[in-house]
Amino acid sequence: MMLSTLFAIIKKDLTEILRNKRAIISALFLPALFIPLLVFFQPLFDVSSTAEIHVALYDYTTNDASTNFMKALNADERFIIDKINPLINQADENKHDISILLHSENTEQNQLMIVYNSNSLKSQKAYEYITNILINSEVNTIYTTVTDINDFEKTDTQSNNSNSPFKAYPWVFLLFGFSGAAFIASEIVTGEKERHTLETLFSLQINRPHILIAKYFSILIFSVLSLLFNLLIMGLSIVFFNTMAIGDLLNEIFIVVYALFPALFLLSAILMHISLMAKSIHEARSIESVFFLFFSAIIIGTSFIELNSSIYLRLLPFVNSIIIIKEMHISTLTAIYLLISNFLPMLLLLQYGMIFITKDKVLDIAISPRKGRYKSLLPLILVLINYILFITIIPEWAGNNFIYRTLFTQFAFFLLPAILLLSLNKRTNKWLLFKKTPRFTEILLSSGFTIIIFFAINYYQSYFNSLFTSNIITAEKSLTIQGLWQSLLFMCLVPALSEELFFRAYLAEHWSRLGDRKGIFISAIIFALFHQNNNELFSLFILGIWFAYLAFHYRNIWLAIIAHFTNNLLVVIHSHFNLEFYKSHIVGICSLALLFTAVYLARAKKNI
Amino acid sequence: MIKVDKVSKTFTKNNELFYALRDINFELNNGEICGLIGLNGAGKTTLLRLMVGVYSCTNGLINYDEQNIKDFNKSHPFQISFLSSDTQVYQRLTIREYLHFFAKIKQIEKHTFEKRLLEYSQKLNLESELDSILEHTSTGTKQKAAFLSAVINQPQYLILDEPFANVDILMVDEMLNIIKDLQYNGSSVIISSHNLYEIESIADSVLLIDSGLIKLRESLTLLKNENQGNTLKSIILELLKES
Repeated sequence: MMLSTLFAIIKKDLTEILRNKRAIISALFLPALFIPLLVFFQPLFDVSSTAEIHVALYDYTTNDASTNFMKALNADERFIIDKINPLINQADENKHDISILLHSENTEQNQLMIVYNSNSLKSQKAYEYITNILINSEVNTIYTTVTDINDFEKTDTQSNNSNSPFKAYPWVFLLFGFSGAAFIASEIVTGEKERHTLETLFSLQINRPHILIAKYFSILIFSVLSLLFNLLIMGLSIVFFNTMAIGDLLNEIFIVVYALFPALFLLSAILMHISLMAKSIHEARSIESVFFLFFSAIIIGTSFIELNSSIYLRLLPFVNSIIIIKEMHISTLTAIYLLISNFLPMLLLLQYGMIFITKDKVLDIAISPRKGRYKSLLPLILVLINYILFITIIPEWAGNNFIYRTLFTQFAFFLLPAILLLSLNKRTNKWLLFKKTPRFTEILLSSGFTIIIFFAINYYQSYFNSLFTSNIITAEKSLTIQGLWQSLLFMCLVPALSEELFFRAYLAEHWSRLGDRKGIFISAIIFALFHQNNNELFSLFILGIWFAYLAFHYRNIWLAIIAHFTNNLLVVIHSHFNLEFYKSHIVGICSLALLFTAVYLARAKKNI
Repeated sequence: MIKVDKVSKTFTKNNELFYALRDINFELNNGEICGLIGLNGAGKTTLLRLMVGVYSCTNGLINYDEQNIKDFNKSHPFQISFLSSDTQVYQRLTIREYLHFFAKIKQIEKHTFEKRLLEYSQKLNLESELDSILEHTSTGTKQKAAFLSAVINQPQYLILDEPFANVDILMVDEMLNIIKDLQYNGSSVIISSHNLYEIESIADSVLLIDSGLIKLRESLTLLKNENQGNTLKSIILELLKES
């Protein structure tokens, strides 16, 4: 009985999904258009394949046996060959990508020595091309020695082979799988609540957890299908543009499937859970879009940044999958990590969902106006664009000049959008947070409490950073700080003003129509993400909560600005004078204790 | 027989407890059609949800043939059918698929289903629309489809919340005929409706709820006799005005 009911529900859901044009467009048509473009344009982004390769050639041959090789090398237009005579000139490390030494012991056979640099992608490519030429041109060699120039300096260089589209864009599969699955999850779970059909299903006295399981499988099946479809499209485009051998292709597809299947199990559980808790499709989509942002930030970040695959990162769901795809390596250990990081949270979520679905409140609905559904996504899209720009283009453009960086990010991403969005907003009470002048006691309280939070957070952060010493450098230290006054202006005043205007005055207020708490929570998540500093996410989240709480509790944005300024001031002072107060256990524990007491007292007071 | 015994239901709203229903007692005999009447927010929907087990009671018991809902459903699967108010059907299915889905869940055999589908769709004038997708049909058609999904297995207990909303008068008549057929076969029916005219034409008894309490529970003929043949509407209006 149970199975036939399950199948009936799954079949019904899938029929509904297949007739849903928007789901089909987002899950099938978009990837079908986007992925071939990605595969086609990928060689253009790959510097090494188009640029000229400078070869330093030391030719000591006295025979003609190497002529074939030299001919082939000369025929290839990519290579620019400089013959080096050690008596006259030297190979230039900056100019030449690779060095080749040809030497003949006797008249018949040659000895070949290649020196390349594994840290340079271009040099690696050059090495690959030359070995190909070597194989094709039938040079008689006794032996070929290949040396990595870095081996002279350090030993632990990783060899990084071909740059396949799978490795370059592992996030594509998760993102497309996600967007399609998110769309249908809100439709088939929250939609069923909103249309009162869930009530009808309940009244049939079907075991409620069974309904949950059926819904879960519908989402899972859809996301797996869309993953397979994406893979198929990418495979076909690779075959079409002929960038990889079929054997390698199948191997890589297998690894992608191996890495992503468990992730999809967790993803579907998260989506189903959000949709089950939400009180309207609109709410489900809002929360899912926030999660989508968080999620894409994590996986795109993981894709772009070189990660040492430490155990902590491996235990993060989704991150581990991306690492596996980038390494193109299957092992028992990675399988165990996949199981732990994906199936454990999945089971917990399902368990909680099964409890939740038996309660009365699962049927609660609050249909919100459909108007402005897409407008609410605007700030989120801004965040995503910012994030991608930040890890790709901005670092090269601005370098380490923090004034440029600050001006660009603060004005382009926070201040201008905030003013623009606030003035476009039609809500009547949108300027409410600006109207009050803060009282002296309030200022004292907010900045004083910010100091406590600063020490508590940094105490935690210094402990947290000690776990990751090898691979994380904090953003603050990588910036060149140019004098106290400039720091005060560009690191304290400008960020405090523009970030508060954007995150609190606009974003938190905008989302607070879902309730003050949700507004605070969502704006804090986005605030944390905006800083592109993955190891400080939690600290930034706490700060975001605190600033938003101040703004909402006193209905006064100036207090949040003052608190933000205080926090940044403390950061600047600490780094300028090389102070490390927050590392001391006494300060840290005292501030943590004060913090918890204050939170406890505030809650107790609220209860009275 | 349905026996509702001292049933109460509380909800929390803004951290405050309030009673949606308080000490509801009544019985419904086999083959009886009962009209459930009440103002908006009186607790009608809550009562019906409690009776089909969508909500669980805070206090009290609801028994079907001396068994609680769970046990009754185990011994007589799918004999309680419910049509919730404001039901919007699965928009992207055709009417046939929609009804087939419920038939499958209610484990109706295929030839029985086909026979009843033909019969009911003729009665409700749905034949030509059976294979059109519900999204593109009129509100009345959707309501008819939802109504059919509840009666398709000819249940012993039928609980309908606002079944006649958005349906034209001709079809209401056909729906009432289907309900009467079910009654003839021994089914008990509860219909909640704001439309007292329909209730008057079909119900054997009425149940009036006002702010979570039973105001009136009487057989319709007795009620009319007591009030010298006044219409149900005027009787109810008078009762509500008194409070």
